[in-house]
Amino acid sequence: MNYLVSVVLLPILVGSGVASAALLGPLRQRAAIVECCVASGLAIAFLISFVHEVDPSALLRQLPVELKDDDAPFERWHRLGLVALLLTVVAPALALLTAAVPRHRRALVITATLLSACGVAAFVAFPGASNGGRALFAATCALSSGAIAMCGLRTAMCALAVACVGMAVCAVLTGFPSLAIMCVAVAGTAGSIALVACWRRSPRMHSVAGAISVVSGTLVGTVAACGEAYASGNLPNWTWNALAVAVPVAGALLYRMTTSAKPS
Amino acid sequence: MTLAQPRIRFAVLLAVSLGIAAAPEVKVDPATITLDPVHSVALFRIQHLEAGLFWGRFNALEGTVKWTMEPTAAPVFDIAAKIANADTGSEKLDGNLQGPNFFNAKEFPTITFKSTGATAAGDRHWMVKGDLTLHGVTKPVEVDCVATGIGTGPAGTKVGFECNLTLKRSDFGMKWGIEKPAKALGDEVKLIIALEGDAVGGTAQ
Repeated sequence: MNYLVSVVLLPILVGSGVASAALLGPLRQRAAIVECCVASGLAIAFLISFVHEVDPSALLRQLPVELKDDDAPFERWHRLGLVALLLTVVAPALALLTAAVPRHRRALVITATLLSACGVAAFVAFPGASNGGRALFAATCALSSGAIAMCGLRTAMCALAVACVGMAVCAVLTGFPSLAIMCVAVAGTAGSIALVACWRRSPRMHSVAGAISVVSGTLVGTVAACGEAYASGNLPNWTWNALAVAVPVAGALLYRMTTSAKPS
Repeated sequence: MTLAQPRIRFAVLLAVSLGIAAAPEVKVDPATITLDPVHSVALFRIQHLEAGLFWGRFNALEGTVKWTMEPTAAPVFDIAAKIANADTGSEKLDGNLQGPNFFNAKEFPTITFKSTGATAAGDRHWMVKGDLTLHGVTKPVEVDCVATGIGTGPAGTKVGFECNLTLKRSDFGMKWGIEKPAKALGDEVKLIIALEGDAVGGTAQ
């Protein structure tokens, strides 16, 4: 398979396909299904891009399993794939859980956001990770998730796409083309979902706060921490965190402004 | 008591004879040649897009070579190259080389070679076996090494070597550009390592 097809186009097709299955069909009335499919679609897109860009064994190498004839080194940035895999599993569970207990949805979403941010910062130790760096990593994930949670679906996907395109540019500038490719795959998926959501507007306002915000925020926060840890060159380190947080925050502000301006 | 006494004379002669017989072979302590980073460099060559052969270098190699300076005695190498010293003539490419797609300098900041043995291949020419650690993977390799000369510098004796090695980077887990993206860069890397250092010590006993 052609390289760009396998690492960019295929993830976008599969990721947006999973999301579109819920957004376009009769299931779009079921908020939990839409949330589950959109969040899973984003995580799956990243995962497929990672597996094609690196190697499936890079994913397995992070687990306590013995790989036959595998003598390649353990590289910490390969944990990006494992994070995507975990998010792919966690997303449907969280969507279904929040739908099952709507009275406690807010508390559940806040707990999931904090657990996901702290868990990923504790689990994924990129080179040079200090305690302060890990705290910043967790804060980036949590703030990004929180900002995305305050957006509507289209705004959230647009913000995610813009943040990922920005980080892809940073990755190219700092000598990390693999990360750039994965960012483009997620950006393309988020952009496609935004287009689908624009085209086939749902009569119901789909809540982004939950699986979608947790997956999106954790992904961009992890990518930012990874890019910052491995960056070479003159790009200031804060650029990564700024993109991961500022773009969703700008999206949330824009969304609030536009929705409050609408006549009730 | 004098040597004129026959018993004592015999004992002294016996002791001297035994001493001569048990005398150790003359051993030569190897000199320690500390590499001069200014004059020690590794050139690497790799094929780009199945077309041109691209050259880059690792500047300022560090380490030591232990050698008796005898034409038949093999030197013992312990050399390191810092990934941060990779130099392609392009800042962008240097950044790419240091990134996770190639050497991953943040996790594996040095390349090291430690020799484990050698066989003579000619006058001041050896096939040196050793362990090469690159990108976090250690593998045995065989390096073709020649002592290029022994000269005199302001600080004393200068010794030079040139070593040649060809390896497959995929053997060391560096696969980007071989299959994905296909054939962007070759797998085979040729290395020419030029070493020069100041010799200290190395005495005959």
